[in-house]
Amino acid sequence: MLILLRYLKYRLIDAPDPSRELLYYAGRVTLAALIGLILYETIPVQQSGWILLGSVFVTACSRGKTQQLRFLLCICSALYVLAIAFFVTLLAGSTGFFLLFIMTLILLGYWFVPRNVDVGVVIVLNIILALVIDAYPGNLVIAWHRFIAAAIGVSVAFVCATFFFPYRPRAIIRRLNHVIERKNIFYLQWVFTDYICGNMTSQRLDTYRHDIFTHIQEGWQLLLSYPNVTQLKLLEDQMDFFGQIGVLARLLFEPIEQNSLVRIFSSLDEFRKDFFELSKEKYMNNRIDCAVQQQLLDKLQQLEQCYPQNQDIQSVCFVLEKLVNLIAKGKVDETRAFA
Amino acid sequence: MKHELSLNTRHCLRVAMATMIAIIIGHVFAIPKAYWLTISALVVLQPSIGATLLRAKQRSISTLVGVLIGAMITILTHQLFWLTALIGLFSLFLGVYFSSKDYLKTIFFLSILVMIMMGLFATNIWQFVFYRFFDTLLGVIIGFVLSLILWPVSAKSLLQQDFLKLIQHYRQLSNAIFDQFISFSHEGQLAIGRSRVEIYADIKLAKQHFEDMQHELDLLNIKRATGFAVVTLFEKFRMTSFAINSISSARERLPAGMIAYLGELKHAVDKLLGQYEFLLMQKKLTTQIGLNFIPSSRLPVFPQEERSLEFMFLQHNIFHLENELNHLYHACRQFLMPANDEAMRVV
Repeated sequence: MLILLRYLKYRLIDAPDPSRELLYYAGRVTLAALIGLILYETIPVQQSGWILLGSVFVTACSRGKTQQLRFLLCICSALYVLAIAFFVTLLAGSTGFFLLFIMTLILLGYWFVPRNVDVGVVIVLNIILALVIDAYPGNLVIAWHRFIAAAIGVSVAFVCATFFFPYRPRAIIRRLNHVIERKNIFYLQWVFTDYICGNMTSQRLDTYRHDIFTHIQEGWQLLLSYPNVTQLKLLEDQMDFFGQIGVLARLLFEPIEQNSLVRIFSSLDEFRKDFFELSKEKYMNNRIDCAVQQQLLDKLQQLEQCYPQNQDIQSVCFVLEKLVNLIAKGKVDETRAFA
Repeated sequence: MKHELSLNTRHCLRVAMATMIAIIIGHVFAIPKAYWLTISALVVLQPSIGATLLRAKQRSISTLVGVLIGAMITILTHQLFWLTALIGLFSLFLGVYFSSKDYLKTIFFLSILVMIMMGLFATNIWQFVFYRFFDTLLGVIIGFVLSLILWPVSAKSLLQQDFLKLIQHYRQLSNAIFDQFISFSHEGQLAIGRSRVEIYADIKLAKQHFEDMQHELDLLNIKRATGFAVVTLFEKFRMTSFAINSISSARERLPAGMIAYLGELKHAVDKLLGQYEFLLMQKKLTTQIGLNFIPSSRLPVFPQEERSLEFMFLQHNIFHLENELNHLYHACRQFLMPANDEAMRVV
């Protein structure tokens, strides 16, 4: 039970998905399916299964990197679904035409995939839809009924894509920056903990590094589409912070440095405690305790003076000093960002 | 003149061919629910053999398990429409949620959904389970066979291309970083930020191809080890670049001779990375290149009072850079060396 609680704490509290994009996306598709299902049961339309198909397939395409792309994807997939509902129903009897149609879609879709994954996904989903229809051919009347039902489904999809957790890129960027800040602190905490416990091959560090890495990439992509100078500066600071932690981890864990760093082992442990007091103060009360900050910098200066010739210790002190300053700098920028 | 199709075009044609074969087989042998056959052939095919094999395994296993569980749910709940619908919606939610994260789980939940949907209207549910699984398996086989015979591309060769791209980006990054020491500019910092993100993405892709490479059948263990070593070294190199870049804004505190040394170092690193680029462009290793890096022992000598903290940090990281570049060269060589090479056996 304790393990499960710890796992949930890690998954849901300590490391939340900053954009929660996938969760909203899955929710949106499920809601569209539910509305489609209710309409399927209640509206007296022939070929009513197409309400469900139309709503799910178009909502499934409502995911892209920008607001404009999302809208375009919805429009394109809606047109595709309507065209497929009508024309493929008529084409399905003729294998030659159908093959030609599918080949064209495949070549187009797979040509697009490396250029724009989202557009590729729309096309591949519609290929699958066309393949399924091929098994249930029909005539002009059936095609028309399918078209009507699909149009109802498409309308449901548009309502869901527009009103259910609409895309707010600026809020996502802000949240991403905040989560990267928090994760950086956790990452640093584990770097110290693993070093002090002598755990040199931690999977946990890799996971943290990978997560932060992914968030930075997402943030950068979003900032390219929705530029914001303040958020860009915050992200760059966090990238610096992340880079410095990586450098510190390498300094601490590489066997070549261990011999000399052993000398300052207890000082590092003390530093760790004070450093996390400082970061806790910042994230719990949103302020920096200048006395603790100064105390940390003094400690580092003392260490540097004690071992003037030792490159490893000097390097570790240098990185730690930068980390302390970056935490304080982040505070100033954050205040400005929300002012 | 021999004209080579791009990787993407080849993959595109391969998928089109696989789909066409699957549709024709479905029609000729009048296979029931033949669209599963075509869909499986379509989605199993990936740009490399390793990735296709992985996808094939995942699809077969998750379809079988998902379809069986879906059939059981349908049998137990088919009289309660809304309960079945609720389970179906929950499966859809999970299937979509995992769609960008885990293919195995996605197919598992979507198989349950499809089974529930189709099972409601099927007259013989176990017959439907059989068709679904048989069609999927046949589609997987068609996809896998085509990936082996039609322009086969190994994940190893894709990994080699990733390494090449990484080297090119590192070349740009290291030049931009050393330029910052010579003359600092905000545009330069922005270019460094951009290169860093590109390198993040490249390393991520290389890791993905490395994962795919693990599933290739003919791979020797040594290739796995050297591939892993190269990816790790690229990561280390990235960290060292970060470390060096982090003090470019404090370049005024560095001794004057150090800036001249960094200018010299910039050209040496660029030349070396250029040679690695040439090495990685080769399909089969035939050349041995001589390393001509400026050793850290050649750092300018300064009196004790001029040796600032920044200087010591930089010295430390240049020492790392030197080590990493040397290791990278040897790891790349081992990675490119043919499997039957004598040196490989010795290692």
